[in-house]
Amino acid sequence: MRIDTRSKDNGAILHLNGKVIGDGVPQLKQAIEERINSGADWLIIDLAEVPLMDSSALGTIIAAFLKLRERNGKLVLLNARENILDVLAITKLDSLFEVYDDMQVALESIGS
Amino acid sequence: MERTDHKGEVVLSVPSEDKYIYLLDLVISYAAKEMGFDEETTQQVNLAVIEAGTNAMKHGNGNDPGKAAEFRFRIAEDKLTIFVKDCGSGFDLESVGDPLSPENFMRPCGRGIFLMNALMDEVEYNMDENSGTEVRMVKYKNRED
Repeated sequence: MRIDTRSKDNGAILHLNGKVIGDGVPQLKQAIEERINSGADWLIIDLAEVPLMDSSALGTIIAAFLKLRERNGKLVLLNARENILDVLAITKLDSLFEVYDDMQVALESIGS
Repeated sequence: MERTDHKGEVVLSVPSEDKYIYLLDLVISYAAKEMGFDEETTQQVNLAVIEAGTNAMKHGNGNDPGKAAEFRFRIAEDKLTIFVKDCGSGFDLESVGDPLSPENFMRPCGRGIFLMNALMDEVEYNMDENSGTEVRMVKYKNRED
């Protein structure tokens, strides 16, 4: 799994590439924590190139969502594939996360 | 990895380390292709087995590389049966919280078993203090919905 991070204003966009499973999960956790610890107020996680994500990866994203929310920040998802949308629906996490399929709309949602 | 063609069964035994999940992913893809599953079903089986494998390695074997997690993929005309076995003494299924309940909903963990149940047609556990814990999961070919 590869993660390309792009800082923008007071936040960051994480482009994930590959299946987020196994030791890809701690890799994601580290990338997210680095951004949050360096003061990011918002994160957009781009899942366009993620064919599969396990529940541990979901948990990592939930933890980041909660941390950012504590500081009045925001985390949104972008370009999630159908099977990942299905998992979000099954777990009802689609009621927690905002999911966008357009970068500009996602940026507007976090006020950037 | 040992393949027993005559039984239509693929057997995989891996150390309990996260990196081997990728190997598991490859075998699931192979089994799903042999079954002729569509993409959606393949991803459902893939995620369910990865969740079971992660549980076996982490909770059953304590992420101890000296303890193997064993996987058997039994390919039949109408269904794919997957057995996932660890060295643990099992757990109380009743104590596994519902991730949809208000008290658990925001918890970062505890969705693996829920997803396995949601994505597979059958899931059952066989727990034995001496021989370990085995989960058996089934996906039928003609119940793709």
